[in-house]
Amino acid sequence: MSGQYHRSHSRAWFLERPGYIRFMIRELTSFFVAAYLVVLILTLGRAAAGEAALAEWLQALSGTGWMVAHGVALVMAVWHAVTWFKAVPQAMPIFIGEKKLDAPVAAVLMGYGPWLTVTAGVVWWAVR
Amino acid sequence: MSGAARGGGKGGRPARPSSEAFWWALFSAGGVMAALFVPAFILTTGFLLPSSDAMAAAGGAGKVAAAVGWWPVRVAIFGIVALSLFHCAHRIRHTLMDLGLRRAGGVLKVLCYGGAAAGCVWLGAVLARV
Repeated sequence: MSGQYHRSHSRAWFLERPGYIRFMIRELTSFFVAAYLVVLILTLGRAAAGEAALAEWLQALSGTGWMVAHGVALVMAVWHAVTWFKAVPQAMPIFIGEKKLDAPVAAVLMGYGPWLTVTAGVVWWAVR
Repeated sequence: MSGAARGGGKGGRPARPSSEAFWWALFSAGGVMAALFVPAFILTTGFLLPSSDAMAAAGGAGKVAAAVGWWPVRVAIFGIVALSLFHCAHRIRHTLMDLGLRRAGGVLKVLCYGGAAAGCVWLGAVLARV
């Protein structure tokens, strides 16, 4: 934005401190999640084309390249979730009366608990 | 308090209304959706349903077809994926600005949010045909 001062820094500023590297990895998760969402919409598109087309697509997705890509996307998506659940109690502290709910308890109630419930439900649907 | 801190514009002129709060709200809502649902979706469509065996793949396809045939599932998928797309768009925009593309901020805004909006239209069209 014009009229504002921005300190000049190198393009590789995020390599200067471990905290900056962690910050950048967290931000980069969004590229992988976005790429997966495109693949998910493609998968839904195959479902719209009919069960036979989707079955053919699911066979293609069992290839090594797709498995590796999904593995990388999964690691990044899990990292997004973990860092998100860490940030939520800081951004939205919960107060019970005057007392702030401890961050680990809030992370379980607002993050890990719902996350594991959703994941268990979806996995149960897929494997039953 | 400075003019900037009050939300004032340059030279004491009132600032234009900013859309940033709106994009941050979408970012937050999408962040929750992506955190809660995307790992489970990747496990399912990336590992549990794909199979090199034709019969197993057909079984997986039937399962998906039955699920997305129910409209509440389609509505839920649309909400989850649309918000997640805007979450990613916001983060990608800010990451690219942090990596030195701050001068191209306006173009990035159009590309990132426009891309997310295009993804939503594509997703809507796909889900309408399921």
